[in-house]
Amino acid sequence: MAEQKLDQREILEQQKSQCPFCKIIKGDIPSKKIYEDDKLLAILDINPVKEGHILLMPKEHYPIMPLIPQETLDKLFMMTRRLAEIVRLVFERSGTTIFVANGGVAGQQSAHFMLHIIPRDDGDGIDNFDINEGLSHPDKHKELFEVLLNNLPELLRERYAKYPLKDNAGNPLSLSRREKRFSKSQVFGIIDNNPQIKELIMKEPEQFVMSIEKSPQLKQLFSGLNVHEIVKEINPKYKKRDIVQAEFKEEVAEPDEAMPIEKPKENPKGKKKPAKGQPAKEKEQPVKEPAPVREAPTRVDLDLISRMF
Amino acid sequence: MADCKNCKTIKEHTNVIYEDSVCIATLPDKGATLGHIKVFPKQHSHMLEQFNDEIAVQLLSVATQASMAVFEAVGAQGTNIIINNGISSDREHVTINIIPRKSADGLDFMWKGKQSSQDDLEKVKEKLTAHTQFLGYQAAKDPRAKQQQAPEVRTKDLPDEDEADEDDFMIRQLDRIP
Repeated sequence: MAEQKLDQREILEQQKSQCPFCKIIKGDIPSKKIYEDDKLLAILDINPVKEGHILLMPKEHYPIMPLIPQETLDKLFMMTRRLAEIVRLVFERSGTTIFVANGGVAGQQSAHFMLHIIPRDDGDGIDNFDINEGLSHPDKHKELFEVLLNNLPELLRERYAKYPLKDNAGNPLSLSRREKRFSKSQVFGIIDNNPQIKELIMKEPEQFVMSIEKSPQLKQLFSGLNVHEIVKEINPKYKKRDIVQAEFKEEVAEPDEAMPIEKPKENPKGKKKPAKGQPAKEKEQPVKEPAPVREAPTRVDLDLISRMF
Repeated sequence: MADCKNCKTIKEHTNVIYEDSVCIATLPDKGATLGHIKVFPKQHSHMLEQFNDEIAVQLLSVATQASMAVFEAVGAQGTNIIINNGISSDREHVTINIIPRKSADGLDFMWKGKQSSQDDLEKVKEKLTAHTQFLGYQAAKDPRAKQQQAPEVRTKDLPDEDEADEDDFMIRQLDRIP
């Protein structure tokens, strides 16, 4: 193993000694330098695609991107942003193409890693950077999606920590919780496969929506999605309500009144409302109807959702 | 924004492989090839320059990791990272395209460069360095930077002269007191 490493180092040293860009950086070969600092160098491409085509590279010789240390990469990206702006403004173009080639197959022409920044306009006759997005591989796509979903967030754990997603209270959500998220169409599929949930949405959509808040599994199912839109699509009769503090039972009993009426005497609308001093009696009447349905969400929580996941 | 494909993808959360509070990485159903990943900011902005350094670094770092992940996952021989900043189909919303490459995959992003004369290149260099000199390191060495400082030194003299005039005036006033 040690021998192999030595070989690699030797190879790298050989590469460096023959690398024209390392020579440019040292000053052995002349170049048109545009920007320079302790870690990076930007020069003009002598065979530009267009006037203003620049090459931005780390001064240190890295054949490919994965070998570049994070600190240098951060600086590289910061300068990319700034140089792209300068290049665009100086040549009065609508935009820029930022191009990276890792590997000969991808078009990497030199063993010294670099980034191309090219001022561009729509219709400027440069079409090699156009990306045609027509290909699809439905069978392989799903498999690849699962692999990436498992691997990428883990690779990005440190970067995620800088800009974590947050819940409603502003608390950062952990990365692992973020991995399981469903698209709208997936949620429709799950609901179709679970007739009990669908029945609940059809019969008591408002109850279903409320039960989501109480169930962590349902919450995760709908996380990041507009619950009201989804429920409405399944059951067009569903009406979104502001159910801030209202008693659950009263809502079902008196759907026209958003908030419980405090003084029955003042009653402008209330025809049916009994005196407030007897809340127990009020609740007794409407409770009978929703009682069996109210139990349904909890049954759904425990059995169905665990099977879904 | 309503028509923006990226914003729609964010809203519907389709094919998301990574997400944080500022950016999102997806594996679209259709792409240039199997494994074409798109990384874009959640904010609907059409140019990379509209983001600050930290967010630009976050976006490009996510893109870098994504390119390494897909390289392994599809057994690629290389990757391309392409940003068509403010142009083409991505002109509305910044998109970083990560495309894994294999030999004979039918893709080709290469160009034919134009040979430029030294004079032309020198002119381009002058135009660009007029702006890049303010980016840091080069500024200290640039002789033009010192010239710009000179006028400031002169303006400092003026307030002193005014004060001197005032003093004279006060003294002259004193002379008139009987």
